[in-house]
Amino acid sequence: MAAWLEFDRHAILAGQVWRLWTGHLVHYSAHHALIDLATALAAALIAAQSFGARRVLCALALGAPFISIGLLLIAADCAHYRGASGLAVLLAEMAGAGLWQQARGNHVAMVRAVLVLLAVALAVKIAAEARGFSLGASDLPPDVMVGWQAHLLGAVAGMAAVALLRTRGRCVRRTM
Amino acid sequence: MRLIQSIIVLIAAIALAGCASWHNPRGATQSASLVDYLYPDAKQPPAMAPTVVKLRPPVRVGIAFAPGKTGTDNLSEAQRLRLLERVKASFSQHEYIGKIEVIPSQYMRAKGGFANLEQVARMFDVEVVALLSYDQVQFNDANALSVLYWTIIGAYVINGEQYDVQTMVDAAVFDVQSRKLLFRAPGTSQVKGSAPLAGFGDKARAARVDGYDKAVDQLIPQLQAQLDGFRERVKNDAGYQVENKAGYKSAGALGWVSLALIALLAGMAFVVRRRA
Repeated sequence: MAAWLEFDRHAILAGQVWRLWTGHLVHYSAHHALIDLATALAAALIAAQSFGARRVLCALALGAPFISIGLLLIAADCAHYRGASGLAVLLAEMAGAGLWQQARGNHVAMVRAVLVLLAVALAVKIAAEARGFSLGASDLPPDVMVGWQAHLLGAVAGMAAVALLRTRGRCVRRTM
Repeated sequence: MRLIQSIIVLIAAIALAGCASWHNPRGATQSASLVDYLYPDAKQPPAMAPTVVKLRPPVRVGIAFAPGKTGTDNLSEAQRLRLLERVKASFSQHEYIGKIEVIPSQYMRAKGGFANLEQVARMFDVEVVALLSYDQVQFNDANALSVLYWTIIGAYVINGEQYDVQTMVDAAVFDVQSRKLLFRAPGTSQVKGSAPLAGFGDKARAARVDGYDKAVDQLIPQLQAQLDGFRERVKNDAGYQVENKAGYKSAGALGWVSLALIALLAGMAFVVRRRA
């Protein structure tokens, strides 16, 4: 079943476009699925409180094929891919952006400083993975590497989603 | 007067008799040899050192025709590219083949040898090259109906000329780094037909093109079968080492570090909500 749903470069180019979305739902092991989905769920709940569930779901629906198409373009050697971490990074960015906006009172500086540190930690993590270091990665089979490109694309998709939602918010306020 | 008429008929008969020899009775030959390209002017067999061929899927493949022999009519570049695209289309779907680059003939130097092959492989960023060579012979003969050419109209409507085009196309796949032949497959065809004297050239040319198409039609399944056999062979052959490229299989995996970071984010969310 997983073979029919995973990101498969040749199958996608042959027309099996559902894999652009379903590739993010399947994983290589239960451990892999548990960590990715737990991270994604936590980030989604935080993001939904800032942007609303509907907008978060739209971001996921558009972000999934964006990450998959990005993999087709920039990861030429990647023939197979599974995992939700690209989407988890997208959701984490949305969550962080939402908290940044909503921080109030005396703790604004503290919250924003922590968010900046988290963003730097994410960037360092992606850079380390690109160099071949896997920082406490999930229990992956030995012939599977961490797809840092998916994390990078998820980060880009997250920034785009936040920018788009903020722009739409400003447009709505102007028309009111 | 009757003498003049006889002379005119005689001259016409001699002129028509000459028409049958206006095209080359021996036919045409087109040839491109792999051995001439890879081992030019070789007098001694090459020294073979035992090597381990390293294959790293998804493999980048180049596909090209060996340069044609000088002095023969050669396949045109447009025809070559068309045939190469057909072979490429048949093998693009395999997951262990990363990309297939069609290499134009301008980059293949006659008698270039492995040095030229390595240059081309570097230029096109490929690891394995499939070299296609061909040999096509066309036999032309006049049949019994050609006696009717003397009617002049017969040269345009009577199929007095016949052709027999025999084609062989061979694909040999080489690993560029080790210079080792991985596998090969042939394809052959025979196209026969007849045509009137006028227009024979056009029909013969079309038959030659058809000959190549039919040979490639036979080549493709043979090449696929050899590829499947090669894949099974490398699993048990110590002379081949298959190691997937980095990222061949990737996973979006976050790990415990990311879980800790998201827990920190959740803590911040709790702080923000509490103060709101």
